[in-house]
Amino acid sequence: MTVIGWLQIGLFVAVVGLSTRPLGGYLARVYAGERTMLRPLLGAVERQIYRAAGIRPEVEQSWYQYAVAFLLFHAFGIVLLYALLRLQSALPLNPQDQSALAPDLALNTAVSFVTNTSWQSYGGETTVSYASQMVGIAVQSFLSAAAGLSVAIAFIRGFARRRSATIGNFWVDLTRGTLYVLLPLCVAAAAFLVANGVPQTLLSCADVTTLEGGHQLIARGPVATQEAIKLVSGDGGGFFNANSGHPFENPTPLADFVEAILILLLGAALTNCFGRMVGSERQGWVLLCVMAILFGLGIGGIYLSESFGNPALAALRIDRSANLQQPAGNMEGKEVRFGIAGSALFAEASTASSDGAVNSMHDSFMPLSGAILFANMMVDEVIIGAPGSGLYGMLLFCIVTVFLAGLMIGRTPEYAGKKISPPEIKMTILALIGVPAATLGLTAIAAAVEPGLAGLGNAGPHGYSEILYAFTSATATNGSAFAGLNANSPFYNLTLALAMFIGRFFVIVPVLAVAGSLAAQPVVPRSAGTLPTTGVLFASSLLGAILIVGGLTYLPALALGPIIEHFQLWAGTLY
Amino acid sequence: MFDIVMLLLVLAGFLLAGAYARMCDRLLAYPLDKFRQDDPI
Repeated sequence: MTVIGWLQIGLFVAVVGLSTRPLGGYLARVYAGERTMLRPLLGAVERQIYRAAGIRPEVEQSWYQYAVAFLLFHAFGIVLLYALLRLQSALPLNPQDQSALAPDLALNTAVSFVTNTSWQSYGGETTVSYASQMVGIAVQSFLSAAAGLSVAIAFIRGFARRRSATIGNFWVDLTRGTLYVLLPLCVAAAAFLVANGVPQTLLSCADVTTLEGGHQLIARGPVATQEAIKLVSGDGGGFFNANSGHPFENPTPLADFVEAILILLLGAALTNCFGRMVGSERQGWVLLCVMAILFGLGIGGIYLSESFGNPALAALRIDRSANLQQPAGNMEGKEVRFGIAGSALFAEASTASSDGAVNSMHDSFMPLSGAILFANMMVDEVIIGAPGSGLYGMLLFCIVTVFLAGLMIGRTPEYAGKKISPPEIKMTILALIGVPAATLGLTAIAAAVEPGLAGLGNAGPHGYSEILYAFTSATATNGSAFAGLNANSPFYNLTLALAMFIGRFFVIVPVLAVAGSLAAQPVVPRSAGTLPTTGVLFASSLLGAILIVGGLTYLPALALGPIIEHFQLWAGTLY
Repeated sequence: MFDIVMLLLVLAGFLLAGAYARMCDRLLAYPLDKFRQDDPI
């Protein structure tokens, strides 16, 4: 570990923290339809979209109508992207003559990007055309993120409204999120990336002559625009197979630092947006503090573990000290230009959010670091999370916390002025139980059948970790890969598509149901029996609920993978 | 042929998700008193 490394992490936390309030205020104004600095510029575009699509922005929807609109929109997106990927060989903007994707791979990719997961069973530069990247994948990255933001805003309205039968209009929220939030951020991010050396071109691969006189094709394309939405949207699907480890996606340490910030920007800001919309910014700060504590524990653990490195190297009497010539620690699978701190920070940001972009290979991390990456995803991506999913995941845990606290101390469960009654608890449990059931069930199947074992790159607990990581990443709509697992097979393409489907829709439907149920309630006045939810006591209870629920659910599965691998590593057994 | 199978899988998934939403709607509307009768604890 180095001072510079810790400073880098500290600066990162400070920048994300300082951006929270202004961006949160902006989000609250955008979704309330209030005047913002971009409304004079984009207001006419917004109105034209409503007119062209036949949307009446003043007409709001019940939670059920909102959910049906959400599902229909995603069904249409999957079919459209599937068709594009299957027909790409016959479509323009295909300078490398990429052939059509196989049906199972096309389905996996379509579900992956429409659900904001961006699990990639393919290598981008060798499989998909520019048209598929720009018209298919990048567009879905925008829309899936805007849809996730919409769900979070609808959930917040559930807390903020009194005796309301509606929670907003999905089409309006989707349009505003895309136009006023994602597009401006991505334009700025893409311009920054181009300035740092990320290519943005429609030319085909560059054919260069190497120093040895041979020929090499260097892949390029419209990278910067896709890179921007990949990070801002919490999507994470790279233009290149190596994702943000590729120098054309992530060329400099500065670009790397900014990319990591972009991953968490909107997720953090939503906590402040929540506080403003429910009339108490402190509510939002409490959520952000809990997220920051979990983030700090994660990044601290990864940085420590990676800096210590592999104990097997000590026996070989190799110089393991950090100095100007070497970063020391575990540099396997990491880019030298990012070092251990930059790689640990990016990995933590990427798995704490549901982004899934990588600048280093998670498969090569030390087992304890791997366990932290698992844990980040297994707590339902509540550690800031992606735009939308992080906040509504955290709010579900808030409901669980006030319910448990109410049971323990005999107080009425209330949160943000709303009484938490059996219907909300039922929906919350439904939302929280679907993801672990799918993760653990599908992992068990894959670890027991021949097609599942056929994709493994390693034996023993490390091989098991590869399977568990794939399904954890898919259900958490993260999309990062542990590497080592060849998931481009009909078995994995279909089972992972199922996992992503469950992770998205079987969580969001009950989330919207909770929103509808809460919106219909009156606001409960604070009384002596109200449990304060803006103090240290509530924050620590929330922290405990997240860790205990996550721990009880997943600890046995983790014990079979990264935890046992850690102990075997210290006993001298490597995988 | 495989394309039709894949699209049928998508359709089945969304029908299931729609049924899930319907189930949530009915669960929310389930009267609290009835819930107490069914589960006297």
